[in-house]
Parts: sequence; structure tokens; C-alpha cells
Amino acid sequence: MQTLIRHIHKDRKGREALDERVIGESVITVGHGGDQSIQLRDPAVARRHLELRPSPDGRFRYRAVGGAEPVSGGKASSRGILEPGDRLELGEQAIAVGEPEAGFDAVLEIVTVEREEQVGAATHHRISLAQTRLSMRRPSWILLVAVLLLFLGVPLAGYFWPDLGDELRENPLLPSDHVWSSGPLASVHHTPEIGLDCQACHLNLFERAPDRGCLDCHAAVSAHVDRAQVSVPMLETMRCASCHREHLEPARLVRDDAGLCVDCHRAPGELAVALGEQPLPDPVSGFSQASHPEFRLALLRLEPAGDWRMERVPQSNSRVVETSNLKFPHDLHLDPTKVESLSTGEPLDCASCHALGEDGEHFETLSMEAACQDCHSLSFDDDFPRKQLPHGDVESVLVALEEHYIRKYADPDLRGGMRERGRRRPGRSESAESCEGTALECGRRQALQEAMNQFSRSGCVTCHEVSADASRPYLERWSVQPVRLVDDWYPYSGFDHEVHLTRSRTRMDGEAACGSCHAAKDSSTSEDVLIPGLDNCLQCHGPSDAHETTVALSCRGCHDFHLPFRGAMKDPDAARDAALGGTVSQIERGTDHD
Amino acid sequence: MHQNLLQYRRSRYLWVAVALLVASIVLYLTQDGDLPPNGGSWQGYTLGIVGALLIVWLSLLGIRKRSYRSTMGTVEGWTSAHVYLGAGLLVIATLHSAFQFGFNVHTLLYVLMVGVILSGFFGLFVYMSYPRRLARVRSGRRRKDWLTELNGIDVRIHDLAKRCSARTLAVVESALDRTRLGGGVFAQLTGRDRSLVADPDRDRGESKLVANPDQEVVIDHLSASIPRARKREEALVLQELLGLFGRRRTVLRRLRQDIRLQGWMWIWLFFHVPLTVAVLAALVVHVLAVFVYW
Repeated sequence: MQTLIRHIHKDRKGREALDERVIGESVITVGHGGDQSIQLRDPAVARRHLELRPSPDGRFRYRAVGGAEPVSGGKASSRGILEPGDRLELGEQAIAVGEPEAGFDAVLEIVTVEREEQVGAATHHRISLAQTRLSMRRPSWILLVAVLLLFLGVPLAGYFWPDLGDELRENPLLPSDHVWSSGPLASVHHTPEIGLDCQACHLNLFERAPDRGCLDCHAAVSAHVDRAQVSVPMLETMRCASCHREHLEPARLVRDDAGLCVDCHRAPGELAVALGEQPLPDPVSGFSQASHPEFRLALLRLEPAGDWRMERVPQSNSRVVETSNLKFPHDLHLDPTKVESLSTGEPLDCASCHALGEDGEHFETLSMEAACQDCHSLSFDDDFPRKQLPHGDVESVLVALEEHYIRKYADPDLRGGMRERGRRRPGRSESAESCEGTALECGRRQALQEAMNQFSRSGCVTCHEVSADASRPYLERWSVQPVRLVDDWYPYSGFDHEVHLTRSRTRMDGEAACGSCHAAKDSSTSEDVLIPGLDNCLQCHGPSDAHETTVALSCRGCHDFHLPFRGAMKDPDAARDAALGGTVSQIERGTDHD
Repeated sequence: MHQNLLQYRRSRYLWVAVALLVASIVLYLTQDGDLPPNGGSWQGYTLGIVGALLIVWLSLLGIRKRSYRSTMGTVEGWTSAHVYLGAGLLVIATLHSAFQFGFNVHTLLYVLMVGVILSGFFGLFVYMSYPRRLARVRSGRRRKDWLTELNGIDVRIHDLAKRCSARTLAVVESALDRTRLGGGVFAQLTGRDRSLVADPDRDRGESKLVANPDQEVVIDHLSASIPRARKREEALVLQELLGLFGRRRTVLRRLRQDIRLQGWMWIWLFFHVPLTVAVLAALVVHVLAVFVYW
């Protein structure tokens, strides 16, 4: 590469002088340093300022490395291409590219530009940040692309290629769709099924977490209302996540605020329509005498057909009478002067019969065998004190009596024993023991005698309602009304007996704590309902914003949203259809409630 | 007296920002007492929308200040509002986040935004305090005037040095050639003088460069040469060179401080602007991410 350099400059005496040189290098350097191909003594020119690379067609590519950018065609630029005829101005010089001459590949002419001012402000020093490598544009682009790629592109790729998505999620340093999470899941959702998989719940892009995500695991969630009785259109369009909010810090998966209930129950008629005979529930706006309806007890009534039907009766209603068909005076049993335990000799207390169940709310179902039989033995024949009547079936009792007495009269030893004793005892007719007939006759007579005694004087009739029809044969003569005790007085609300065993205001515990709500000591009949109502609760509890001497109680302190016996909250199949694109019905409704 | 950015129209935008903050805090506090405050409540969404609009509007300052023909408010007014509302954004975005942070794009956006705002605070600080210092450094002249004086001194020194001994000429020429002013980012911001000069104590032929901070070495060499001058004329030339280098030292010091202060007045923008672009990108991802997995 032969480049002819033609340098026209003024010598010390001001005369123009011409230097011609030939440079064979492929890079021609320009600067004020002595080692440069072309040396320009000019304050605007750095020691090494410009590189020129000639090409065979006579053109030059140039690149400035010094501070001041050369000007070509009126435009300052640190790099570019010079055609033959172009000029590049640098400080007080102009470098012009000439037409290639014979014998040379390229020609450069360097002339001094005459300026009015001999000394200007031009400098080759880099004196502003704009002349450094610092740039706003380059890092801006890098950051823009990096953010979009790492936090949008890569996680999205993981969504469309699930295998890639799984790999990304497994390495916490890689950007998976977890970078989109607005907060950790509630700890109950830290399950192997969900794990790190966002799509366990978020099934489709740009779609709110559908119910199907929830119902895959929570299929058995029960409904709030019985759809046969009440229509609540708003409930039907709500999503699980409308109430159950995930990714919150602190986690609050289950709402506990009054608004959950009273937003709708303040005026149930505005949102719900009763379909059956049951009226809509009374309005509720809080927990006070004025804002909360009276409690309704669930009482059991025996239908003529023999079934038990639940009837819900407000506390103040005159029909609040328990009809269990069991005779039981609480006051007598709790009177220490009259009743004491046969086994321990101690007076009875509540826990002698009532055992709190595992749920802390309900009590174990009472049974004759567990609660009564220790004292109320079913023995009937003093000669056979260990012989007991069967319990629970009238016919069995009557048959057992006949069998017992016929056997007794058929056995000569036993019959003889009876004759020898021969003494009358109170409550026993003389004729029975001194019967002279056959074993069958005497046994039957004695059995009838004992049955009449049991069903009308001192045995079964002590606790049971018995009716007798003397015109009927022996085995059909008596009937005992079935017994059923209420085991859940308030089936739609909860109550934790354990936490209430200590009532702080009175510092009572155990027995006294029971008595503070249940007036058993004053109840002489089993018709009394010993379950307290609203006013009893209000002695200690108030609404959540109440005075500081009352214990705050939110709706969910007693009530649940998903109630038993009311069917499923959501139809899993319908939810699946909806999630798989069957959203037509939603679109037709034109609604997407939250 | 010149009215500064913060006092524009009696700090009108300070009050706008304060009103916005009070409204935001009230909104934040009205969030349902049961659910923890979060960006997804209607209050949180409102704060988020206000924050996003603020981010977009604050970013537009870069465009507005280049639109010289725009009549949409003055650039000064925009900048005043930019400062106050930008500071307010810090609070609004924090309330929107409800102090919930994690390793996710949402917190990334927050961190980037805090970076932008903090760099903005630094920019505000240098814009408030450096122009006065710069004026003191320039003492009534422009940077251009100082550079012209430097070039003039250099030409004069160059001419005079030709009349001195070859040794002195070499030292003086190397001092001119190897004077470092400005340079890279670090050099501009620290203002350290890393000028060099050919070692005057070495024999001719061996050229070894030594540090020449504040032209000290060349000045020492010249003052040491004066008594050794053989002719009176040569002593006079050396004397004049000594005076010129003394002035050159002053001019270089001024220019160095000028470059340093000017550098600090700009450097924050090299963080502020790219981070703003990153904030806009993260904002897009943040909004999308909220709705991608709704």
C-alpha cells in the first residue's frame, strides 16, 4: 500500500513549503507526537489523534482516538469514510484525499487552514464526560433488553415450554415465572402437589386464578346456602379467590373480617331470593342486642311417623321446650344431699355424665349404659341381683321377664326356696310367690306382675314416657316413647367449651363455669332447655370495635362460611369446563365478579 | 436574586407533592383492617396507578427539555415539579408495595426506582451547590477563555524554548506534550494531575519520564537553570519561561477543578437516565406480571 503524503505548511519565516513523503503502512497515524506518521503541531491535536486506513480504491477509513472530533462535510464524527475529494478538518489543518496518482494507491494532502484567531480554545484533552467511554445510550439499551429478557421473555418461554419452565424453577438463580410472584404462598399451600408450580393454580395466562385450580384439591368444600332453598346469584359468580386471597404478607388465606358476612347479611333480601318455604335469614350487622338476631335453637320433634324432625325456634319463643321423652330432673341429681355416686360416694357434678368431645364443642352422646346404669340398675329380682333386664327394646324386656320367671318356677329348688322364705315383702303381692299352678302359669303371672311394676311404678317408668293398653296382649301392652337428646343445639355456629371453662370476669373454673351459663341446678324437668342465648354471650363479648372491657368477637368466632348439609360449594365438573375454554356462559352473562 | 428550582413559583410543586402524599397516606390507612395492606386492594391499585403515571410523566422530562418549541409549561417549571413529584414517588411507591419485598420483578422495579430517585437527589444536590463553586473557580471567565489562555501560553513557551539549550528545550517540550488535563472518567472526577515530563536530571539521549504534578518538576528545573545561565539573554528567556509556567500552573489548576466540578454535575445522569429506562422496562413487566398470573 503506497500512500503519497503531500504536506503544505508554512516555515518559520512564513513561506509556504511543500513536503512529499511516501508511506507504505496500512495504518497512517496522525498526532502531535514525533512517532506519528503525520505530525501536526497543534494544541487541538493529541499525541496520537487519528488513524487513517487507505483502501485500494483510493478511499480512506478514519477513526479518531483523540478528544476533538474531526469535521467532515460540516459534521463532526469520530469515524467515517473519506472519498477522493473529501476533506477532513482537524484543528488548524485540513486533510484532503486526492485522486490516486500514477504509482501510488492513494494521495493525502495536508494544508493549514487560515483562521482569523491565531490561538483558539481548541484542545486535544478530553475535558468533558461526553468525550469519555461513558454513555447513556449503551447501558440504557443493555438494561432495557436485560430486564425484558430476564423477567418477561425467559419466564414466558418457561410457560410455553413446561420442561424448560421446570428446569428454571429448580434453580433459584435462574429467572423462572417465580419472579412474577407478588409474595409467598400461605404455608398451608406448601404442599408437594403445588410445590414450585405456579400453574397448579394459575392455569392460563391473563386469566384470574380459576376455581378449577382450587377444586383439584378442595373438591369437598361445602356450600354456604342450600341452593334448593335460596338463590344467591352473586355467590354463583364468585371465584374461590375472591375471598381466599393468596400471596399476601402476612398470609391471610381465610377472611376473618365482619365485612365477609355483614356486607351481604345486612340486607339479605337485596341479594338473595328464597325459593322454598324457609324465609331468608334475619338481617345482621354486628354482634349486639340490636344488630344480631336472637339465637335459634335446633329442637328435635318426634313426628307421628316416628321420625325426628329438626325445628329451629327462637330463644324467646314459648315453644322452646325439649321433647326428648326422657325424664331427668337436673336439680335432683346435682343436689349433694340427695344423690351421690355409688362408686365414689361423692356428689354428682356435670362431668359425671357429660364428657366433652374431641372438637371441644359438642359432648359425647349420653347413653343409659354409660351415664345412668351405675346407679339405675336394671335388676328386678332380689333373688338374682345380677340378673338385668335388657335396655332399649320393650318386647325383649317382656320376653326376658317371662323366661326368667317360668324358669324360676320350673326349677324345684328355686320354687322350694321361694316357698320357704314365704315372707311378704313390700311391693310384692303374696299370690305371686305362693303360686300353686304350673311353672308356665305361675311364671307368666309373675312376669306380668313384674312388667306392670316396671312400666308403671318404679322401673322403666322412672325415666321413660310409657303408655299402656290393658286390652292388648302381654307382649304388646306397653310402649315406651323413643328418646333422642339434642346433640347440637346451634348447628350453624360453633362454640369452644374449653376456652370458656374459665370466665375471666368471675374467675370461675370447671363446675362453676358450667353453671354460669347452664342453669342446671334450678331445672327440675327435662323439658327445660339449658342452652343460653345472645344476652348470655353479650355479658362478655362485643363487636370487634367494642369497648375494651368486652372481648372482641368477629362473625367467624362462631360462624363458618362453608356450612354442613348444604351440598357442594362448587361443581368441580362445571369449573373444569369453564377452565378449559367453556367461558361462553361467562361471556354471555357479561360479568366477572370479584 | 436568582430563583432556584426548589423555589419555583413559591415552591408550588412542593405543595402539590405534599397534598399528593397526604392523600396517599390517608388512602393507605383506609385499607381493610383485616386483610394486610397490599398492592392488590383498590387502594393499592390506586396508589399503583398514580405511581405508574408519575413514573411515565417524570421520564418525559428528558423529552420535554429537548422540545425547545414546546409551549407546554416552562422547562424550569417541569424540572421543579420533576424534583418534588419524584421525591413524592418514593413514598407513593413504598405505600403501594405495602412494605412487602421479595426476590421478584416487583421488588426489582422498586429497587431500580429507588436508584433513580437517589441519583436524582444527588443530581439535585450538585445542581444546587456546584454552579456557585464553578463560578468561583472560573472567576468571571468562561472555560473557553481559560483554554485559549492555556493555548496562548503554550505557543509562547514553545517559541521561547527554541532559544534555550537543547536540554531545556527537550524538558520544556516534553512538559507541554505530556501535560495531562482531564482524560478518562476517573481522571476527570478526581482532578488528579498525572502530567509527566522528561527527567531533567538525566543525560541527553536517555529519555525517562517522571511525574510532573502542578508543573513542579519543570518549574524547579527552570529556576535551577537561571543561575547557571551563561548569558544574560539566556537568563532572561529562562526567567520569562519560569513566569509562563507559573501562570500555566494556575490555569491548569483552574481547568482541572472546572473539569472535576463539571464532571460531577453530569456523572449522576449516566446512572439516572439508564436506570430510568430500566425502570420503564421493569414497570411494563411488573404490570404485565400482575395480570399474566392474575
